[in-house]
Amino acid sequence: MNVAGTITSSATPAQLHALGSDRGRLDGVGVLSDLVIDEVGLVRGRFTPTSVIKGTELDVVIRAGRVDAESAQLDVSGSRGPHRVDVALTIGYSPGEAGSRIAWSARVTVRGPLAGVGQRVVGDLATRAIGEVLEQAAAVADV
Amino acid sequence: MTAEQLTRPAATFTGRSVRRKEDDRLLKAQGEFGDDTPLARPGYLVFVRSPYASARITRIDTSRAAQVPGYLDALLPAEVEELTDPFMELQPPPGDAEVDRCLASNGVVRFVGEPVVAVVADSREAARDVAAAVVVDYEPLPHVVDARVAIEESAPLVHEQVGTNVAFEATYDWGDVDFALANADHVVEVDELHFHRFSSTPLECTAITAEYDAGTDSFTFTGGFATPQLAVLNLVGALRHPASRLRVVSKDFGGSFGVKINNHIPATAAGLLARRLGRPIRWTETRTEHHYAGGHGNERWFRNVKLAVQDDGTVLGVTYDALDDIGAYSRYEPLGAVIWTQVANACYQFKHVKVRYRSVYTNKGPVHPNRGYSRMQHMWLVERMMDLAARKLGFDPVAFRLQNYVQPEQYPYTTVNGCVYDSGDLPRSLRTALDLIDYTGARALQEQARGTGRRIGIGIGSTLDSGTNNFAQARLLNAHIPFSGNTEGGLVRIGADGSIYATTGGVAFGQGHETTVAQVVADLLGVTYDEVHVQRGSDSSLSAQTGFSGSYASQFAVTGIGAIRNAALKLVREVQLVAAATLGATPEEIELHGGTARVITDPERALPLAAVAGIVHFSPAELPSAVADEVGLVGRAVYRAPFELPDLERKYGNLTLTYATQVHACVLEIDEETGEVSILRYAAVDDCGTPINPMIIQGQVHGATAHGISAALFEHFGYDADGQLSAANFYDYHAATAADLPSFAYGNVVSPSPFTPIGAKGMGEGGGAPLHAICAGIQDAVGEDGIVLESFSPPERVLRLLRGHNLEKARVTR
Repeated sequence: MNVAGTITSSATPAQLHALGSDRGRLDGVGVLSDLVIDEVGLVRGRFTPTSVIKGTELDVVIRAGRVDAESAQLDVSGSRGPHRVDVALTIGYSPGEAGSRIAWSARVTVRGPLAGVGQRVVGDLATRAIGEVLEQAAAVADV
Repeated sequence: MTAEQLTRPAATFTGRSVRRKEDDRLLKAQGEFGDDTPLARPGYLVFVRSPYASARITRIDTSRAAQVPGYLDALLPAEVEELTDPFMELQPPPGDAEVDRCLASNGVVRFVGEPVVAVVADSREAARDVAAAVVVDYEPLPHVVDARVAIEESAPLVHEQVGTNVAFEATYDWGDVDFALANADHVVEVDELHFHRFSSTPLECTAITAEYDAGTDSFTFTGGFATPQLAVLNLVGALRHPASRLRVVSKDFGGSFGVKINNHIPATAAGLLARRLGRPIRWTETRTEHHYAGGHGNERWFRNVKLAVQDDGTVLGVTYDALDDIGAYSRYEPLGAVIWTQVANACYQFKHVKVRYRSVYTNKGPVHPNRGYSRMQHMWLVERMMDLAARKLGFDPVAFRLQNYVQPEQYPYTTVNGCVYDSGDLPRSLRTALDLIDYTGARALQEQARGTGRRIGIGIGSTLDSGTNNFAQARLLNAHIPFSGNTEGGLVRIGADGSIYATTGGVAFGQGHETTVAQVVADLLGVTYDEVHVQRGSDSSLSAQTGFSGSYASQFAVTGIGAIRNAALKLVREVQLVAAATLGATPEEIELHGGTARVITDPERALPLAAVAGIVHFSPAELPSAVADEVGLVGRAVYRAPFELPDLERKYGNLTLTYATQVHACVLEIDEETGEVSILRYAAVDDCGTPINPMIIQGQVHGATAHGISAALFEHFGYDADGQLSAANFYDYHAATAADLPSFAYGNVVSPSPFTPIGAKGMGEGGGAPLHAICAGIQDAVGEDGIVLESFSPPERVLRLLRGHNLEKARVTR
C-alpha cells in the first residue's frame, strides 16, 4: 500500500540533508536505538515507535538510495518474529516559512502473519510510525 | 459347517451403536494430547519463519537472540545441510532433484512460513522471544503463486535445480475419448474450473516431543504421526540414524484428516536439537503455523474440459488438463497425480477418460493429503460437468444422474482403468437423500420464491470414498518405488489374569478405534465389550505394526479391523487348544462364549478364560507338551489386502479395495442483495457396507459434512500477488461452527463389500460431497445467470454469478 504525509521542521533543507552523512546525530532520535553501520554499509538498529501499538519493537535495516539536496530515498525493512514490513520511502524537503517542509511518501509491503489481519490497520500504523521517526529526525537536525 | 462357523459366537457387539470407550476420558479432559505430557527439563522449540514467498537468505544473526534470558540453542540451515540428508522424493527426474529439509535448503526460502531457524529456550514464552530476536536478511527473488503461470517457460523456478516447475506429468488415456468426442451427439465444453485450497482444520495442531537417550543412542518421538513406520523411515533417513534406535509414539491426538502424514519434517529439527542439547524438545504448532506450513488441500485447475453426451442422456466420457498446485515442496506429492485415478469413473458408467495431469510447484504452502485427498477434486469436476451437462442439454438433474450412475446390479464394477468398485446402490442412496430434503416440496418452494429477492437452489452431490490403497499405485509415478499391496497388523493377547488386550497398528485421531476394535474382539472371544482393553495410540516399536500401518485413505475398518480379527482368531485357536486339552475334547468342539471356553455339545464343561490364562501362564506343565509349546495366548496377525501389481504401461489395475458412497442433497437460499448463501435443508446418505458401529459412522459423516460445507462457503487459503497467505489464522479463516450449519438429516444404505472380512468399508472422507452439492445448489439457484466453475462460493462470488459470471467459459459445441 502507499501512504504519505507532510511535516514541518525548523531545520533547513541543508541541515536535513546533512543528517544522511552524520549518523551520530541519529542517536538522538528517540525511537531509534542501537544503531550501527554493518560491514556492507547498511544501518541497523531498533525502531520503537511510540505512536503505534505500545511495545512494538522492530529490528530495522536501512539502505540509503539516491540522496540529494532536496530528497532522499531509503529502503527500510523492519522485522519482529515472523512479521516483516518493507518500506520504500521517498522524502522530499523544501524551504518552508520557518525551516523546511518535509513531504514523504512510502510504498509499504507487509509480510508474514501481519499481512493477514494486520492489513486492516497497517496503513494507519505505518503512517504514524514514519511520521514519528521523521519528526524526531528533523528535530535533531536542527540541534 | 466349518470350524470357524462352529466356534464363532453370534455377533453381539459388532454392528451396534455401543458407547465410545474413548469418550469418557476425552470428555473429562483426561486425554493425553501432544502438549499434555509433562517433561523434565524440556526445551521449547520455535521456528523462525520466512516472511517472503521467494528469497535468498543473505544473513542470519542470532547474537541478540542468544542474549535473551532462557536461550538454549539455535539451529541454522547450514547446520541442517551438514547434519541431515534430504527427505526422500517419490517423483522421478527431473522432480527428484528437489531438496527438502526441515529448514530452508540451499539458502533459499520458497514460501511464506517456511522454517528458517529453529530456536530453543527453557520456556515457551522465552522461545518466542528468542525467535523474535533472530534477525534474518533476505534478498527477494521472483516468485510465482499461480500454477497456470508457473508452467510457462518464463516463470521463476521454485526449485532452480529441478529446471522446471512441473514436478510430475502424466497422461492417462483409457478408452477412446477422441472418438467419443468426435461421435457423441453432444459435447459440453468448459474452458477452466478451479478447486480451491483449504485446511483439514484438525482440532489439535501438531505437537511433537523429541527425546534422545545418549546412553543408548536412541530417539523417541511422540506426537501425531499418522503413518508411524513411514515416519520412522523418513526420520532415520534424514537423521542418518539406525531405525533400531528410533521409536515413534502417539497417544491421543486431535484430528488429522490426512495432514499429519508429514510430521517427520518438523520432528527432524526437534530431534537434532534434542541430541545436541541432551534434553527433551517440544514443538507445539500454532494455528497460524499450521495454516502456513501444516499442509493445505490440493488446489487444482481443470482446463479444456469436455464431456461427451448422447441424445438419450448417456454420458460417454470426459477429458481435461489438470494443473495440480502442490505448493513449494512435493512432500507426499505427487501421489495425488495417481490417487485420483482410484475414482476415474467417479460414480458413473464412463467408458472413456483422458486426463493430462501436471503437479506444479508454486511459492505457496505445501499441500498434504486432506480428507478426500485428490479424488475429491476429480469428483467435484465430474459432478460440476454432470450438473452443467444436464442443465445445458435440458435433462432433469436427478434422472440424468440416476441413468448414468453405476447400477446396483453392475457391481463389482470395473472402471475404465481397471479399478473395481465393490458394491453400492447409488440410485437408492440418491432417492433416500431426496426424500430427506423433501425434493418435491423443495421444488415448490423454489417456485414460490421467484421474484422475491431470494432464490432457492437444490443441489445433489455424489461421491465415492475409496479406501484401502494398493500402494503399487506409487509405481505409476515411479516404477522404481518398491511398494505394492497393503497390510496392517494387529495383536490380541490374554494376560496372566485373563485380561484381554488388543493393540492395533492403526493410529487413532478421533475415529473411535478403541471402540470398534473392542466390539470385534469381544464378539470373537465371547466376552463383553468392556472386558477388552484396547491400547491407546500407537507405538512403532510394538509388533502390531507393519510398514503401511497408520490411519489414512479410509482403511481402518478393513485393514485395521481385518488384522485384529485375524489376530483374535489365532488367539481363539490357542484357547481352543488349551481348553480341549483340559476338558477332554477336540479343539473344534470348543466355543468361546460368556467369558468361557466350553464344549459346544456340553456347555457345562467349561473353563473361564481366566482359568485358561492361569494354566498357560502359571501351570503349563498341566498341558500336553505339544500344546504348551505352541500356545502363548498371543495372537499376532496381519491383514493383507488382495491386490496385484497394475499394468504400468496402460496405467491399469485395481488401486483400492472398497468404495463407500456418499450422496448428499441440499436446499439452499441465496440473498440476491448480499450473495449470502443459507442452507435450508441438508441430507447426507452414507453407504459404507456392513456397519461396525453405526453411531461412529454417523458421527464421521456429520464431521465430513460440516467440513465440506465449510470449505464450500467459508474456507479458503487465498494468496495475494506477493505470495502472502491472506488467511493465516482463525481471525481471517472461518471454519464453520454450529451457528453456520443446519441440522443434518442422515440416512444410510448398506451394501456389504464382498472383498472385506466382515463386509465393512473404510469411510469418513466424504468431505467432497458437500462441495459438489452446494455448487450444484448455487447453480440451480442462479439458473442461467451465471455458471459455477469455482469450488469456493463466498458471497462476493455468488453476487458475480448473479451478474453473468463465467457465462463465456462454458458451451455446448454440438
